[in-house]
Amino acid sequence: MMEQKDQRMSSAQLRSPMVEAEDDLDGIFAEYYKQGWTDGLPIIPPTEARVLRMIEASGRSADEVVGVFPPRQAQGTVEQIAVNAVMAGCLPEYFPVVLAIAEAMTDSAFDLFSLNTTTNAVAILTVVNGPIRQRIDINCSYGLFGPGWRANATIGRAVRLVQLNIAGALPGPVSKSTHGQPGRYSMCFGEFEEKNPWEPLHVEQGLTREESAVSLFTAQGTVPITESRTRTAKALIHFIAHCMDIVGTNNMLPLHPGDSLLVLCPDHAAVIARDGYSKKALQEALFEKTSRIPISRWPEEKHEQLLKDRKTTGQFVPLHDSPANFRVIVAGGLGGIHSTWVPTYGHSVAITRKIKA
Amino acid sequence: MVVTEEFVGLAKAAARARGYPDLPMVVLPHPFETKSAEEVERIATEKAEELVQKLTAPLPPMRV
Repeated sequence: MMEQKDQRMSSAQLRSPMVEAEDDLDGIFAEYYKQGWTDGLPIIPPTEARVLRMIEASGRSADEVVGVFPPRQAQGTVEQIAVNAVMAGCLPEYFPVVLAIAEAMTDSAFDLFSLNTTTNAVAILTVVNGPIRQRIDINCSYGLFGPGWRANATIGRAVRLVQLNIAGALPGPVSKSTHGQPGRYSMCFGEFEEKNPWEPLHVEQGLTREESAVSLFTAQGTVPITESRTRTAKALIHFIAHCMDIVGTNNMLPLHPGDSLLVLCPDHAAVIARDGYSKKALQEALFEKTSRIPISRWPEEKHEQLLKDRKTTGQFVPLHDSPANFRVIVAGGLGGIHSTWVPTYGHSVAITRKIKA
Repeated sequence: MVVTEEFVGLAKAAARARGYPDLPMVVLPHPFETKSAEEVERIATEKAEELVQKLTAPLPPMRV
C-alpha cells in the first residue's frame, strides 16, 4: 500500500506492508508488474486512503479473516481483499460483492486448490443475482461476457487478483494452466432475471428474490450456441444438446459429477417457455438428449477405460449424471440467436453466497 | 509425494504451505500421461525402490 494521509478511518489497524512511492502511475504499475502482482494490465495504486474507503464500504473489520486461500493456505483478510479490489479498479460499493465471492471461493466444496494449480483453463465465473444488480449497475444484457461495464469488469478482475496475490496462483511456477483463457482476466455478470420465465438462480439455491447473491461456477470456457431457425422448444433443445455433447470438456471425464451452466439468451428462453417447458422439464430434456452419446466419438483405445469409468449402458456415454446438473440462467441482449454453454471443471457444483450489503 | 519434473516447484510450495517443507519427493519425467505403456513400466521399475523407501520412511515433523 502507499503512504497517504487520511482522516476517516483509523489506519492503525491496517497490517499490509507499506511502501513509499513517487506519485507516478507508470512507475507504480511497472513496479507492481515486476513483483508479479498484476494480471498484466495497469492497476490502481492501493493507497492507504483507497484501501480504507474500500474496507469502510463493507462495514466489516480490516483484520477479519474471510477464508483460507490455497495453495498458499493464506488467511485472507478483508484488508488484503480490499487491496486487490482497489488494484482491480472496483468502486467501494462493489466490495460487498467481492467479499461474497471470496467467501464462496474458499468453500471447501469449490476446490480452490485445484482451480489455482491445474493445467486446465478453468476460470471462476460469477453470476450476480438480486437488486444489487441495479444498485451498482451490473450488466445482464448486451455484451454480457464483456467488455464495457465497470462493475462486471472490476469485480471479476478483483477475484483473479485475489487468486494471484492472496492464494499465490502465479502463472507458470504455481498455476500450471496450459493455455489459460480470457475469462481469467475477468468473468462476472448478472442474470437477466426480468427476462427469465423461470426462477432466478439464487431463488433456486434457496434465497428470496429480494436478496442479492453471487453464484460461482468453474468455467472451462464458453461454447457458442448459434441457432436462429428453430421455432419450437423441442428443436432448440435438440440443437443445444448437440452443442454440449462434445468430448473435450471436463464434464465428460470420469468421476466428474458436477454442474455445467447454460446461459440462455432471453429470446431462446422465451421459445422454450412458450412451448410450456418449466426449467425442470428443460433440464430433463437436455439430460435425455445428452445421456446416450455414441462411444464411437472417442478413439477406440479409450473405449475400455471409458466403459469402466462412466455409468454407461453398452456403447453410450452420458454427459451428466442427473438433470439437476444442467444449471440454467437467462441473460444477454435481446433480438439475439446466441446462447452460450459453459462447460465446467467437472466435479464442482454451483456455490452461492448471499451478499452482505 | 510423486510429481513430474514440471511440477516440482508447485509441489514444494504446496507442501511448505501445509507445514511439510521436507516432504519426501519422487520425481518422474515430464510429460508422463503421453508415455507408452512400455515406457511407464520401465520408469516404474526404475523408481520402485526409491518409492518404497520414501513412502515407508517416517514423516518429517510438521513445521508451520
